[in-house]
Amino acid sequence: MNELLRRTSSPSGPGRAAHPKAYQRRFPLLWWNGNPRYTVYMLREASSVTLAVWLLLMLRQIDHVRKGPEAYAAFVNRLRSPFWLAFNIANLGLAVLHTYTWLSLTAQVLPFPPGLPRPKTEQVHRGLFGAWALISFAVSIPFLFGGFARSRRKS
Amino acid sequence: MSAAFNTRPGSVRMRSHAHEAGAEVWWWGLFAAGGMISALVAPVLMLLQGVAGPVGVPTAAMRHDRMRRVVGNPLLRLALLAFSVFSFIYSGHRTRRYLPDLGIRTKSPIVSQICYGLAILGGLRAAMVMARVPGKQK
Repeated sequence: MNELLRRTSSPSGPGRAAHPKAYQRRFPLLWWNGNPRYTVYMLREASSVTLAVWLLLMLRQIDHVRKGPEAYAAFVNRLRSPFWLAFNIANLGLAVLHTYTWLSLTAQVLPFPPGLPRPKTEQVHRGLFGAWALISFAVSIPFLFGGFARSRRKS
Repeated sequence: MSAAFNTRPGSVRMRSHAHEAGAEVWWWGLFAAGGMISALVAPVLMLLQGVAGPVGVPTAAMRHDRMRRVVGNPLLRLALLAFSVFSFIYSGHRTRRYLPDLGIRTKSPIVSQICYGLAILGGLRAAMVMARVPGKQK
């Protein structure tokens, strides 16, 4: 009985995955190549992998703070190499793609409590992108001007 | 008797399914939070740390004394930690969902375990880095 239940449960349930004869369509490895929509989709999904790599790089840079000025300067100099610069520019492009697609989709699927007037998708869109601009500005202040006054006083 | 007993709410069988669904719901929830946080914060950090600084803009991250003052702020470290942890979880979950598109189609739970395991390790790495950063210079 349990075996029967397992084999005939809903398509999205665990039964399907366990079914030995479940149909799985085979795709060519580059199935997304040729249709721009699919290519953008694959790039957007790839942005999650490059984000993790960049996070590790950022953590490594912060970790170098405790290793002293020489080690930190050497690390920062490595970031100036064409390889890391190209990596970071590509990474930035993918991150912006993630942000654009994420915020655009959020504007369409954001749930609102029933009974309240629902704003237009464009209004939510503008609000989200405005929030992105504001947050980017706020985050950039410490990383642009942090320690600036003190370093000028010292020199 | 055992079959009826096994499918009753609260029985071992029911609990195990509820647990699976619960874990999935949590990963999706954390994915949504991480996706939003990384969408709002990651581009500006990437721009300042990886592109603007190396091409010559005098950002704080390019000098040790200035960066030490910036990350010496415990509130900012906490914010960076939260950003890193949520972003790693988002990345792990999205990568797990991405692998079938790359042709890696396996029914084995090892894929989820590797993706979520790496995400958790990334979060632990972030916690370790933030805990070891020296405080503000006197």
